[in-house]
Amino acid sequence: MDKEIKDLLKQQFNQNLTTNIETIEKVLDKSSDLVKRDFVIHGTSNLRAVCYFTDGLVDKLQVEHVLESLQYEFHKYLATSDGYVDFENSADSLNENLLYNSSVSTTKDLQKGIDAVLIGDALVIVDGLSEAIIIAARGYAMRSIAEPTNEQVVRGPRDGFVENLRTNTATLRRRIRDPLFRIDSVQIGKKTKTDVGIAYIKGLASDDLVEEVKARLSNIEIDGILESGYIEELISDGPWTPFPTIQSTERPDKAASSILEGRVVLLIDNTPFTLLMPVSFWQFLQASDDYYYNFYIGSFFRLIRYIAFVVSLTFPSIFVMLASFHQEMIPTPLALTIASGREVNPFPVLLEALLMEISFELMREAGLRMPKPIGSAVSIVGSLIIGQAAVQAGLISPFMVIVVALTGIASFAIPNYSSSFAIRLMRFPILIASGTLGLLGFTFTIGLLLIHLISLRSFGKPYFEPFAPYEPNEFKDMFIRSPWWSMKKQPSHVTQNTNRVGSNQMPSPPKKGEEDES
Amino acid sequence: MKEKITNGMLIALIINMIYPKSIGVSQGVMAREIGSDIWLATIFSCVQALIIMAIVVTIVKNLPKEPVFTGKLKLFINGLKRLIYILLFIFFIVAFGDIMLIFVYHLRDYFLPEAPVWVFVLLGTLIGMYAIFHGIEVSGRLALLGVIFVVLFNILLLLGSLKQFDIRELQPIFNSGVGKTYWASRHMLTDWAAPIMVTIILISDVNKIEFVRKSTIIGVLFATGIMVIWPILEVGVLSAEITAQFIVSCMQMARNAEIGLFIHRYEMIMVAFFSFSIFTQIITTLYCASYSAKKIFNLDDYRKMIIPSAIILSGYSLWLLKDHHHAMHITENQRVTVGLSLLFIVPLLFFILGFIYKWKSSKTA
Repeated sequence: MDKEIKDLLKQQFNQNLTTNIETIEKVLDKSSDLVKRDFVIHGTSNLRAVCYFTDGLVDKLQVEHVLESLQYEFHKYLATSDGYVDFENSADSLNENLLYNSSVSTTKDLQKGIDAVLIGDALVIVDGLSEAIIIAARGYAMRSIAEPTNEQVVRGPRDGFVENLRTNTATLRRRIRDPLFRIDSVQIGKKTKTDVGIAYIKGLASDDLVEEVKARLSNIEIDGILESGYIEELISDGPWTPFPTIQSTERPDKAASSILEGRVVLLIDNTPFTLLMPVSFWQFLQASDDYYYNFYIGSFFRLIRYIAFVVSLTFPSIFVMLASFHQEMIPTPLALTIASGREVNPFPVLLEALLMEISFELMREAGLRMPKPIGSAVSIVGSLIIGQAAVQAGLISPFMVIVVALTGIASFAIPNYSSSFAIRLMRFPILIASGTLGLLGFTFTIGLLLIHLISLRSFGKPYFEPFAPYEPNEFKDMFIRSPWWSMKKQPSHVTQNTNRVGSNQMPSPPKKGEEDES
Repeated sequence: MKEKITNGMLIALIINMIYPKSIGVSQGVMAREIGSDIWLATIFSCVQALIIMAIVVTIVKNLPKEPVFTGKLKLFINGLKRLIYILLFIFFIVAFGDIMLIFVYHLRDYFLPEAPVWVFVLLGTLIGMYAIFHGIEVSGRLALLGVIFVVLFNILLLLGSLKQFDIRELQPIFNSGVGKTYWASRHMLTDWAAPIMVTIILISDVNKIEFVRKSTIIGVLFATGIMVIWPILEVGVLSAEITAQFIVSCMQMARNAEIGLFIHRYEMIMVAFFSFSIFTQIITTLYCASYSAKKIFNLDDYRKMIIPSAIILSGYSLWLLKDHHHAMHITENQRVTVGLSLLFIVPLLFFILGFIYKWKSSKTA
């Protein structure tokens, strides 16, 4: 930043309106979206004032109300009959008597005043007043609340977070009406000054965790935050790991449930993706509707997701390992089927698998980046036509198509995109190691991966908990989703305040005597 | 802050440190000596291990705080401490060779016969180095997973073997005589030396040191429970004669197991589970060797000794595994002599050290 402007920003508002205007214009220059509305206050001795706001960021109706009340009502409260204004307590009087807006504040700092204009508030400066008045008049166009497209559920709320921080905090408040629910606020980004809300329940989230989150946020030095991914990368425990140690979600119900479990949620302005912390690896295999359906259904689909996780990570590697090195491990009829399919195939199995996997990722990426109607066409052309042609040409075996397709489908079943991506990424080294060193390569890479996951932490909490360290009580909500009435405790690795469900909550039909009475 | 492991992790480490070697190679060695009584020799060794573990833990746990020494006595004490850790380092070199023998002979002989030995040793050592760089807690956590995999391994084996089990193969008991059976248990006792020595190194890192003796006893008993199944099954399913013919008799068991008509070869799944237990052994042994080296050279962080220790340990393993005959000869003879000698000498030296500390403290007071 220009040194001169830096120095100007350190100044305070002056009693002279002209000086203030000159200073502001030096700082903001003549931005086309910056609106300066000069006016004279009626009933006074030609008292001048000015209102600054950013076009597009304010609700003009609110600004008009402010201007109207200042121009026509000001003198009733603050001027004597001969037009003399007592400037001693004017700012407070204005605030108390004249301005209808719900949030009004005064400031002496030029920096705060200019920041207010840039975030969408209106700044009013009156000649003779050494304080400026900041009126919350934010009202910019934004996307309406809609269902998150990346985390869809069959049963569950349809609302999702949006790009507006206040709307998001309100969405959470609607769900958690606890007086101890706190949303602290910080600003990050020297140029973007992005608002970040730190949401937690006091007493439920451990104080150490909240302090740690705040400390990590306060250590961030960056010019701008344009998405929560910036913050995620800057505060994560594992800067080199592909696995997410902070969960991102667009779903308010997921964020609220995390808060209720004693976690901390970061809401970042201008993005619908909120961050949840701390997390364990297994959370990425849990979906919101696991908890909304009957526990049998929730548990079944969760188990399916675990299978999907294993298939997505290892299926191509196991196939390549068996077909290349350990054919004797495949039951004979199956081995013969695989061999007949590979009869005309010129490539080694590893190369074939790598080609197929890369082609699959290519199609997925192309489908994602293309406009929606063309994207689906690319997928169809890629998967059906090219796949069929490649098999008929003898370039790939039909079995490999099945393996890669199943792996792809399995990776789609993982509810969290970041962790699904990490698993996809890890698949390649495992595949290469299995294809070159057989069982040794497979166990080596899986061993490394396991050790890596075990060594990770999320805000100091072991990432692989409750498996390692072993916490048997936490298994109620891991592979299966136990009935709500049996999950009496909160996850003990997150919060010490562990009661969740009262005792004797298991429903039962009325006893015989009670039934008769009713 | 010094890293701590939970008492549960210590139990899991004890199980993992004994399980992989004791279920196959040692059973084969003992079967060549005493035939069908290997399960009795296993029980003998477990009882001895339990007693030794209790004594060793008592000695090391109750080691008094080091008083201030001066002059020649200080030199002597420093020399004695260094000697203890040199002996421990030697022990872990030998133990690492044992583990590599298990790792290589399971994976190479049964799955990748054309792959060179150094690839196995290199990759195994790399895993160990990577893990201990993150601290012993990682090894403890992996040990917990290792126990789960070991239990799964046992279940799979039982499912695939029980129908072939013939209890008559176990009779007559003490066919070789009680004395000979007891003497054969030295091979297994040498295997038990590894978890006992690991406990000596890790005892000060355990969270609740007041329960450490109880934890180690639980560890030994649990390990005995999941281990003793193997000699019984090996004799009852394969027979003692067949068990004696294989270096890795447990692999032969695993290869024989079949579930139904379709799943008739699933030893690879079992070995994949088993690998994690071996990895835990590799990691823990490398950690203990690096820790001993740190103590020998009086360094502040064991991480500085990871690479030198890894080079020495893997170098010995390569030498040990140059051929099967050489490896098995060392395993059946010199390893037992060195292992058992150190199992008695090291605790004795700790006892002497404690005695001197106590004597000096009382004299100063």
